[in-house]
Amino acid sequence: MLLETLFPSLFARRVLLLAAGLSFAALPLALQLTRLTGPKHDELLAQAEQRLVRRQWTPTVRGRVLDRHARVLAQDRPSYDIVVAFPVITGEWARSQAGIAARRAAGAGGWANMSPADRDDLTERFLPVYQAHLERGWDRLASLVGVPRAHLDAQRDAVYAAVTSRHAALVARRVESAIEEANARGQALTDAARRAIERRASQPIAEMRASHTLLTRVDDDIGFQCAALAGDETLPDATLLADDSLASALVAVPLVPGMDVIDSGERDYPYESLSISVDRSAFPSPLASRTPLSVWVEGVACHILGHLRDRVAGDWAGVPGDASRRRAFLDANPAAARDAFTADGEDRGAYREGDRIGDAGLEAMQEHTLRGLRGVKTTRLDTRTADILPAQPGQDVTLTLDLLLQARIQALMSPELGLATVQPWQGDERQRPTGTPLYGAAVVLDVDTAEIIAMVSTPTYTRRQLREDPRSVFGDEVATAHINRAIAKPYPPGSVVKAAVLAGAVTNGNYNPDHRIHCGGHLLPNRPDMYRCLIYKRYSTTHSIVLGRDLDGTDAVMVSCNVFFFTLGRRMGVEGLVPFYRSMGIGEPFGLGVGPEFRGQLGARADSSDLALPDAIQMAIGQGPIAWTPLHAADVFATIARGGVRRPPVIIRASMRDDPSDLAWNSRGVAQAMEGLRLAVNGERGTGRTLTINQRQEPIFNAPGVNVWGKTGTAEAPPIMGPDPDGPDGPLKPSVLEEGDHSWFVILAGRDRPRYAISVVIDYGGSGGKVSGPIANQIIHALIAEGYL
Amino acid sequence: MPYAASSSRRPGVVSAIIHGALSLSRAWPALPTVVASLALSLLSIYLIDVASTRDPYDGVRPLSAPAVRQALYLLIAIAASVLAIAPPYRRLGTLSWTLLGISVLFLIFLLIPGVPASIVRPRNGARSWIDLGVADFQPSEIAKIAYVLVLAWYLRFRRNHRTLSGLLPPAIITFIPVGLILLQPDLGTAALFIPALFAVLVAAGAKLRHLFMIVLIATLAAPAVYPILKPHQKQRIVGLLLQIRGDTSADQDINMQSVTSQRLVGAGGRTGVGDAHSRMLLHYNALPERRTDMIFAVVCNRFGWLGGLAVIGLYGLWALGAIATAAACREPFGRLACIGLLGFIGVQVFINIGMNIGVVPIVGITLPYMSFGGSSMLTVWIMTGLVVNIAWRRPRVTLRKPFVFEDD
Repeated sequence: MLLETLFPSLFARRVLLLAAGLSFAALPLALQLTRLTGPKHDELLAQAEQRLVRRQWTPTVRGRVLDRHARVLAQDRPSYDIVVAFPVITGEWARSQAGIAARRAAGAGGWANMSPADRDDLTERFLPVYQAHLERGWDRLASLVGVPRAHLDAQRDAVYAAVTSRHAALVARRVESAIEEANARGQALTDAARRAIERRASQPIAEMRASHTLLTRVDDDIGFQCAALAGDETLPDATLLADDSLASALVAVPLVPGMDVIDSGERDYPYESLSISVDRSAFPSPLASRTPLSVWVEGVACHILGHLRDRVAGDWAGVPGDASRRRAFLDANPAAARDAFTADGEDRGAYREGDRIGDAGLEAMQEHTLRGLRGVKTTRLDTRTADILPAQPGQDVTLTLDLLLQARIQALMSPELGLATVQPWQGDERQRPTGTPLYGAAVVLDVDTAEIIAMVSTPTYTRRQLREDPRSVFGDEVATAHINRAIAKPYPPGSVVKAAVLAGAVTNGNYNPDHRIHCGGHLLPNRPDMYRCLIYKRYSTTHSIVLGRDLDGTDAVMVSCNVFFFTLGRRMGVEGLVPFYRSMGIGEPFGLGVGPEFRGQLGARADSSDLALPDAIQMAIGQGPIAWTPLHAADVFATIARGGVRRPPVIIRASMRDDPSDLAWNSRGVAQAMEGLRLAVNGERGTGRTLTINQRQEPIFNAPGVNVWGKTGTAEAPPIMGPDPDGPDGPLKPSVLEEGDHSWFVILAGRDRPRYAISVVIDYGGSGGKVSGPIANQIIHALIAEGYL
Repeated sequence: MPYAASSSRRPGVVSAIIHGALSLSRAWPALPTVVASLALSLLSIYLIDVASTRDPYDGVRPLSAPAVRQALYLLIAIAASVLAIAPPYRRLGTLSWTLLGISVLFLIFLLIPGVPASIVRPRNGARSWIDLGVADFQPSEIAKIAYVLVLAWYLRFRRNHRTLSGLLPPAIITFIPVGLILLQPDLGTAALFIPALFAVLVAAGAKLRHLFMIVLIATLAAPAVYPILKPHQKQRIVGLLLQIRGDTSADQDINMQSVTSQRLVGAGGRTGVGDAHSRMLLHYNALPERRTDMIFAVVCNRFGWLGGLAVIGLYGLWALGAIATAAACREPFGRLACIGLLGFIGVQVFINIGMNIGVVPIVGITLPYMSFGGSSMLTVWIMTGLVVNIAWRRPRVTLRKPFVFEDD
């Protein structure tokens, strides 16, 4: 063998083998070293470098919400929470400090030689000093914040109770599972073992070391003073020590130990509640008075503004759909998208622990505009240099709303004024007691600009109610305070559509304005029980008899003749009527950006393919498979006032766009419709002209110098049913919570020409003219009071 | 002692030293070992300073306290190595059993239950250290040296280790210290004895097929050991498997040390990052044990791939010196002792570097000549001294042809 000839010694060969072995072992080391420092170098260096950089986020300020007169409706207000460490809250701190002082007094050597009993004894002597010190701190804190000491102590007790009960529950659970485990392992559970388990299980929980909030929403000034107090150190009172020689063991400690002041920035809604003085001189006579009444209105524009949810926790996953809204916002705003990301690609607007998030209304829908971008402070730890990217405050959102007008209309619709309650002159068919509150909605739309100036839905709710008693907001199926009725609740339009249908029929060539149509009380000659006029049903007479002539369009709108419009509906058919309604925006969302909207409905299917001629006949008088909202009504009236030019309504200034669409209505049709609307509230035979109160006639509209065009509607509505006591198959029927007709009154008002479209609906209010009419009239007075008319 | 005899005319101290120094040139085969030991030790002082930086480094500070201490340890260790050179090494052979006996007594002392914590203070749960007041002392380190001497002394003229049953006495000799160290428990140190034993047996001419057989059986039996490992030991093995699979889920906990070490090694690149930069990277990446077990990561971070290979090369140089000494020594005890020492150093270097770059699970094993610590420094320098001693006092004539067996 060659090896043996070269190396005759066995030892030499063996050493060679060992050397080869060592070299072989070095090979993987060299390879891995090469891999790490070669191909993986860049990645690993970047990772290592990252540890030299510390990034801190700085908070941003949420944008404000302003009304059309730049009143601040929502803004961030600095506010602070006072938190204190748990051992301080419980007083345990005093004992541990006494122990530390005792050890200091004894000296390290002395302490080591003391018996446990002596140690305890010395500690006890310091205890009163520190307990008194804590008491002093609590007094000081209470007086600084301006709360009674008892309140502070109650807060402490509440924190203590909450934490200890959580601890007790956890200990019980731990003991249980430990015993189960021991049993599973087949270990005998001796007393000693059980004690050991209990000792292990009684380990304190994290909350026992953490800080807890004692006082919330402390304002800027007090927060600042508390922060100063937190830094204050003072020597505990030595006079409580029995032995003066121990005093040298006392050192300065914070006055309120373990206290911290935490930013809890509040969202402030300055106009949420305000007092409105209402002039009642123009009210219907039973309610009228020379003295104005002050009404305290709460939750003004709450439906529109919405609210924020509580600060989110660290493990919070996000608002459903927010990620896509964020993307859409960034796509639509290239400028915002440019700034939104840090150098390493993190979204500065992304949610983090402690963020507040819009939860409803505009606060939710405009979240990304309002939210802003937090700042980033990047510190290079090795050089101590900092790079600061300042926070970018959120953008303001300006509304077209007039907050005071909004509040005034809300006041008008509050039950204490009596307009939105059951009244004797309304002739309530269901004979509800006088004063029963009625709920509804009102919208004021500027005809020229399509701006929504007011949009009220009653009942409203307050943010405090939402926090403290959410059932009162969400629980009532009739009141449905959480729904913004003006845009989100479906209503059958009823007769208020008739003027528009007239214009449509003339435009479509289904009605010649020079022709008259005979009203025989019912549409079908042989079926007097269907397709009837109201006066035929009630008084067995017809409009042709009452007027002494057959009806043209103006007459039909004035007297709200059903037979006339059934006829038009039959002539227009589904093919004519549905596209006409669609052209006015029914079935299409407004996209206002202040909360959910009901887009309007034409038939059960989205494409209306389920509709047939009988439906068209019904839909021509605003009944049947058609539903819309008060905003749709105001929008349609504004379109009529513009002679058939539609402008989509807006409530957020920034989303206003000047793209009116001319529906090319026949001008004679529009003229007849407008004249009909004028006569309906002014003409002798008009359905919306007068109230009959105590056998005396009073005009519904009484604002001097203001012209009104309008139409009543008494729309048949489905009842609201209560829960079915024995299920759908049982013999018992569910109770009826609410039933009857919705009361509509939609008007155009202006001194020279129609300036504002006002729609009012009262749920299950009954007669349109009698219930909604006086409210519409008072809205005109409100517009005058606020300087619009 | 032939040189002593030749200078018997005037036993002046000066001339004895001069004469001794001149005759020390005979130790030339050990020169690479000495050079490597010194280079690695000096390098470690700088690297420990780098690894001890805390605040932003302005580059004008004196050596940090740990680096100064390491320098002090080095001086003491070199002094100790001189003591290891002084007595003729074969006399150490005669004393070897006594030495092992003393270290076994120390190892037993560590395990006595009642010893106060001020003397034997458990570190990371292991009773491995004796507190001497001024410094801590790790008896297992001395046991390594005594064990190598005993093994070499026992095997020097033997032939029965060429039979399977003849392997039993060396196994028993090994088991005594290993068993005691395992009881501390210090699995890492205990594990070093086995490769050292094998190295000596291979050099002593044990039949390779016997050794292979033992290795094979041990390899097959290894998984059976897993259940009796301590939880933290299991974790490290699981951690390494996770890393191999590319699973980063454990990077923040059980793999933290390994991953951080690899990150810092990789960050070094070809030639390393600058002095100040390296100090900051090490500080803020907070690599645990960076002055002791993980010092190789510091080498690579500061000097990169080149530095890492250079250090591995220096250990190669050390090995070269030990092998050259063994080859030049025509006497079996010296030969085997050299190989035994090489076995310990080689395995320790392999495991330590391996765990620094993520090819071996993390175990508590220091890097010879480089890790911070007096006990370790002292031991490895005594090893250097022994290699020099053997090279210097190797006999001029072969007394008997060692390790030549008719049946081979």
